Amino acid sequence: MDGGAMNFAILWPEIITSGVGVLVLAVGLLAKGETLQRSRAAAWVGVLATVAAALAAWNLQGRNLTAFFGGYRLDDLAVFFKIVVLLAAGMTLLFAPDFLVRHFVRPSDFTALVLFGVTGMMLLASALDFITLYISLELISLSFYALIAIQKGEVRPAEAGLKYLLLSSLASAVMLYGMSLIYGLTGSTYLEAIPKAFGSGQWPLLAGVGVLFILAGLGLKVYLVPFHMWAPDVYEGAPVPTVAFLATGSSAATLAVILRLFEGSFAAAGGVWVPVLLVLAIVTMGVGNLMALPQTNIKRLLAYSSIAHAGYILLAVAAGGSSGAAAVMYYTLLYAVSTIAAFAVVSVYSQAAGSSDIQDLAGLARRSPFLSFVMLAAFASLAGVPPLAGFMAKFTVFAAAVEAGLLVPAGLGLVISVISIYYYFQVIRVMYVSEPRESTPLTFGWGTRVALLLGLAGILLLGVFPGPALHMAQTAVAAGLF
Amino acid sequence: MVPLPYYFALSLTLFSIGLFGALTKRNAITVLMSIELMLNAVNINLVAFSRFITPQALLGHLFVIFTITVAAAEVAVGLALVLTLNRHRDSVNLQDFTWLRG
Repeated sequence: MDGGAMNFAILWPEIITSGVGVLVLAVGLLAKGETLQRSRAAAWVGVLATVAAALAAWNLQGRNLTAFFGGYRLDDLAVFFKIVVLLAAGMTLLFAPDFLVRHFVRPSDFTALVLFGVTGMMLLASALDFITLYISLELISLSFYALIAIQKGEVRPAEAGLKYLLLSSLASAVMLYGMSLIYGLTGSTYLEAIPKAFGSGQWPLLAGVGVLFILAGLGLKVYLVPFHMWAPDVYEGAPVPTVAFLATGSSAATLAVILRLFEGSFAAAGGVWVPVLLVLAIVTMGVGNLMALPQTNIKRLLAYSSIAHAGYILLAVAAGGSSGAAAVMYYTLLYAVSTIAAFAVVSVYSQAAGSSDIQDLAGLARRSPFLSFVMLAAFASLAGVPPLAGFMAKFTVFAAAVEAGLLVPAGLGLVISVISIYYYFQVIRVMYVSEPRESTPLTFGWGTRVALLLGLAGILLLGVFPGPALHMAQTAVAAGLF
Repeated sequence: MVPLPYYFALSLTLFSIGLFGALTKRNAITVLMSIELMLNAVNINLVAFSRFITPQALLGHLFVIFTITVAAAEVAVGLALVLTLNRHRDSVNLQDFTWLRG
C-alpha cells in the first residue's frame, strides 16, 4: 500500500478543531465562578478555531495525496467538504450563544461538542477505508447525541436524543454488516481495493447486498426515505442551534463519503444501487415536499424541507459522472448556507415567542425588517427562485440528471419541486402580511448579526457568481475520488 | 476447524434476531440490547473473515476492536438518556414518549 507516511501536516484542520475542543471543554469544567455570560467567550474561541481550520484546509488545496497507511485521503473533494462543514460549524457557533444562555446551557459545553463533531465530519470527508469511515461517523453521531439532549431538565430534547441514538446506531449496525460482507468478499477494508478485487466481472450477490446495506446505513444521515422518520421529531425536540448544525454539517459530511463510495468504489456495481437510489430519491422528494405542506411548526417544516432537498441531491448522486458529483457538492454548499441562515432567524424569533409555530412569525417584517429579509432570501433560495443560490443549484442537479439520460426522473423532480414554492411562500406571507400579535422589536447579539450577514452574503453571491464554487467542485471531481 | 459457512450462518441468525428485536420491541433497554446483538453479529463476521480470508493482515481483528469500543460509548450515552427520561416519565417504554409521530 502506497501512501504509508504518517503525514501529520495534512491533519492541521482536524488538529486545530479537536485541540481547541479539548481546551474549551477543560477550561469550561475547571474555571472557577464561570457564569453563563462569561462562558459566551468559549463560542467565540470556537468560531476562531473554525476560521483557522478553514484557512488551514484552504491551504491544503491541490495536494491530492494519501497518507496514514491508505486510511486517509487529502484531495480537493475532501477540502471542499471540510470548508462546508467548518462554515456550518462556525455560523452555528456565531448565533448559538444567545439561544443557549436563555435556555441555561453553557456555551462552552456546546462549543466543545460542536468542535468534536466537526472534527469527525472533516475526518469522514477524508476517510479512505471502512475503519476510518466508521470511527468518524460515530464521532459525529456521539457528539450529536449529546448536542441534541444538551438542555438539562427538559424532556423533549432528551426524547429527541434517545430517538436519534436508537435509530442512528441501528443504521450504523446495518451499515457495518454490509461492510463486513464486502470485507469478506474482497479481503480488504480499503475503498480503492473494492473495485480492484472484483475487476470488471460480475459482482457477487452478497456484495450487492452489502452495497445496499451501506446505502441504508448512510441513507439515514442524509434523510433518504424510508429512513427519514427521525428528522421531524428530532428537529422539533432539539435546541435550534443543534438542529442547524445537524441539518447541514452531518449530511454534508455523509454526502462526501457517499460520493467516494458510490461514485468510486461501487461505481461498477451501478446496476445494483442506481435503480434503487433513483426510485428512493424521487420518493424522498415527493414525501419531503408533500409532507411539508400541512406543517404548522417551522422546525418540522424545515425537517421536511431537508428531506426534499436530500431527494434532489441523491438524484444527482444517482445521475453520477463528473457533473453529477459536482452538482452534489455545489448543492450541499448552497443548502448549508441557506438552511443555517433560516435557522438563525428561527433561533431569534422562537426565543422571543417561546414557541416555533409558524403563526408566531406574524408581522416579523415590522418587528425586525432585517430578520425577515434574511428569512425571505433563505426561503426564496431554498425554493429555487432565480437569481439566488438555490436556483443555480437545482439547475446543476437537473442538468446532470438530463446529461445522464434520466429524463423522466428529472422531469418528475422539476414538477415536485414546484410544490415547494407554495409552503416556502406561505411562511413568507405570514411574515409580511399577517397582523403581528406583538409589536416589540426583536433584539439579537453581534454573533447572530454576523451569522445572518454571512448567510445573506452567501445566498446572494453563490447565486449571482456561481462560477468559483462550481469550478472548485469540478476540479475536485476531476482529480479523482481516490 | 469449523468451516466458514457455519460462522456466517451464526452471524446472520444473530443479526436477524437483533434487527427483529430492534424494530419490534417497545422497551428502550431491549432495543439497545438488540442493537448490541447486531453489532456482535458484525464482530463474528469480521473475525471469521479475518481468520479465513486474510489470516496474516488481522484487518478484521483491528476493526472489531474499534466496533466494540464505539458500541460501549454508544450504550453509555444511550443509558444516560434512558435514565434522564426515566426520571421524568417514570418509564422506559418507548410508547410513553411522545415521539414517532413521523
